[in-house]
Amino acid sequence: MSNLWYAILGFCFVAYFVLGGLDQGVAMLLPALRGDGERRAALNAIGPMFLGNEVWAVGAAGVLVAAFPRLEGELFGAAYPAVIAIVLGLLALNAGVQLRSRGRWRSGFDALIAAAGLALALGWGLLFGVLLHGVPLDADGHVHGQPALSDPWVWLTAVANAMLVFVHGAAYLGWRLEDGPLRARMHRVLVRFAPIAAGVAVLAVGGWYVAAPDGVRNPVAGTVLALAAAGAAFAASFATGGRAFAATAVACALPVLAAASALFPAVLASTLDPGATVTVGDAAAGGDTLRLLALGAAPLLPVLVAVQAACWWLFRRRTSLYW
Amino acid sequence: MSALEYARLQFGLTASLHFLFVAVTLGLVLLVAYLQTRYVVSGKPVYGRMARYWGLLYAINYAVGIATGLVMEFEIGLNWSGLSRLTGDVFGAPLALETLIAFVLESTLLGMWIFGWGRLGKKLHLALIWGVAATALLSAFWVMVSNAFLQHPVGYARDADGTVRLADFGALLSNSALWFALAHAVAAALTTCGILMAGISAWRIRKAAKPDDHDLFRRSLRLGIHIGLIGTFFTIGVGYAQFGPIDDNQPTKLADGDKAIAAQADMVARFGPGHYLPGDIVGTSLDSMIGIANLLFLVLFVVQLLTIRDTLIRRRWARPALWLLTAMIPLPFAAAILGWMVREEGRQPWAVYGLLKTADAVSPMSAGALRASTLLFTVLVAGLALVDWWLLARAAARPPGGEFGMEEEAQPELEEVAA
Repeated sequence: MSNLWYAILGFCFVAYFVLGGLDQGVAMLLPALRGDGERRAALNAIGPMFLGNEVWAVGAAGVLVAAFPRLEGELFGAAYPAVIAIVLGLLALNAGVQLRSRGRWRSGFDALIAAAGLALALGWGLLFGVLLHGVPLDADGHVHGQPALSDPWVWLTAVANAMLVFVHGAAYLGWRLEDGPLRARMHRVLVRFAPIAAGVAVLAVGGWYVAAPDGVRNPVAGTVLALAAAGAAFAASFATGGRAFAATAVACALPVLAAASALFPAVLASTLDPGATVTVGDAAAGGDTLRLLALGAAPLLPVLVAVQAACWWLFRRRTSLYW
Repeated sequence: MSALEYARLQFGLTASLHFLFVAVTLGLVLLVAYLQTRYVVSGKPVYGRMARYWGLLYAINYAVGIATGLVMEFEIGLNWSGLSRLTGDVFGAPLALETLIAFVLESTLLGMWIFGWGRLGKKLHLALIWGVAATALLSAFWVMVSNAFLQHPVGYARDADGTVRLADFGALLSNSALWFALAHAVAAALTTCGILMAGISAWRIRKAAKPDDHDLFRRSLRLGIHIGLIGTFFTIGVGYAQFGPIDDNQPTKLADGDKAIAAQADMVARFGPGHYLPGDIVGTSLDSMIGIANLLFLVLFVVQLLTIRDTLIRRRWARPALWLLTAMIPLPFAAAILGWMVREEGRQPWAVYGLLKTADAVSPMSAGALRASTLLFTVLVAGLALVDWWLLARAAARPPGGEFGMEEEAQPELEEVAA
């Protein structure tokens, strides 16, 4: 049962990295766009889906709190500043995107939105890095300090994630915008930066081989998935439209699976005491809670997916208005 | 200040600001859904204009409401790892149900509703706002199930190591700290929105709204006053109904005099030495909240009488009542914060009453880290809240009609004249 919930948690995070990632990518691209018209067009392209994209972060956090109560506290503790950056980013991105067209401070909001996108992409990448690096879990079950955040490979992983997300945003705009110079420019951004993103991702994988943290139990599975992400990003530069977007979506989704499978069955590897390492089974809530959630929440996940799919279908035509 | 104090301050500030937005979200969505239903059923354009005018205010309010909600979700893991470690099995389950089946669905549907004006079929679009309303209520329900567990833990069993396991989910749902509190919160949200709607409409009417818009605000004023009065009546009713369960569940919360001494002695006997009585702020907050509620009820009752034949608008001598309605807007918000102060501050020193002390629930973080995060969160959340209220005021001052990129609809009255 705990493995099933770990898979559901993974599903929520994959959904968030693909959908929330495109929000972050578009947010990071805003400073590169010229004038209010282009920025409106870009934000408008994510408009109807934006709220639905963002709430996967809440869904993932909800599964974390309920199904893995002992994981959330220690993971967040081990990456405290990164999680603060993530929360500030979520706050600023959600409020900024929805409020920018309501007032006069558009350029101020644009800066806030772009900073939020960058903070989120780096913050989530740092969280990957912290997981791979391992955390100072003591025998008392608590983490003490955040040494992982001064590790260069953790930061390289964060940069790799930010690059993938950036390219993902460009691919989305290159697909969804109305035909015109802006769309063509976004495609050029994709062609130029996708190979760089793939390169940084490969470097990060190499970095983890140099660092060789004890917590990584399945280096082969992790490496294959991470390299596949890099490959998908690289392939995106040779595609256009929906195909390029599909490729970058895969590139954003795979790092979640790569990090999880590199550590499995552990989730939080202790750098101090191998005995203190937390596995999926240790971190999970009791059987009754998981069964209740399986009955009460899991059947609604397909409904949720169907509603979001309906949203993409209903708004498949390119929209020109921003509310 | 210690890490514990910062963690409490941080959660208290975020939660208080969140409630200000939630009170509007929860009530206004029902009113917008009602207005849009009348629009679709009757086809009268004025109801469509009302639904869009109030719907825009709803959406602007929601933007920061969802953002503060996100922060709270993460703060539990960041600052209160003891809470999830020891009681997460029980307390987390309703929270996950809330996020997965309510919050996520609510936001998805709302995004579609906002962008669906004029692009989706009228009935599908109406179904979306009712979906938002239903999931918003469901969200409030599951959050209150979690909160009721903190107030009065039931349905659990303790492991040998002290971890709390879920034993009886039905007991969580029939918790005596749940249903009256939920009804109280929903009724208070309706009160808040009723007064907000009446106050803004009264302001627009005093500022001499254009003849076209006058009908919109006249109807909104009446609706706001009706809903405000009904909401206040039920808020007060279920408010008083909570005293019984609170006395049974939390003997230290509202006790004073001899009862307080007895409750303190009883807690010391059960849980060892310590201070188990909450501060004076609980009693003060309770009295202030009741005072505000009674005042609101009185004023709303009088203006309700003045809605007969629109006396409120037509008679010059009734004009001060319009001014009063606008001036009253902050009061239900203040009462909401005071009410939550009673509920949450009155639970201290417990995080989970009788099970887990707040001091044992906090994460083992340094005071410096918590000071920094408190400062950053507060600056950003409070800043966004102020910007949001300014934008709300700006949107409320605009002439109705252009919301959600919709062009003004043809006035059938004019068409009839032309025919």
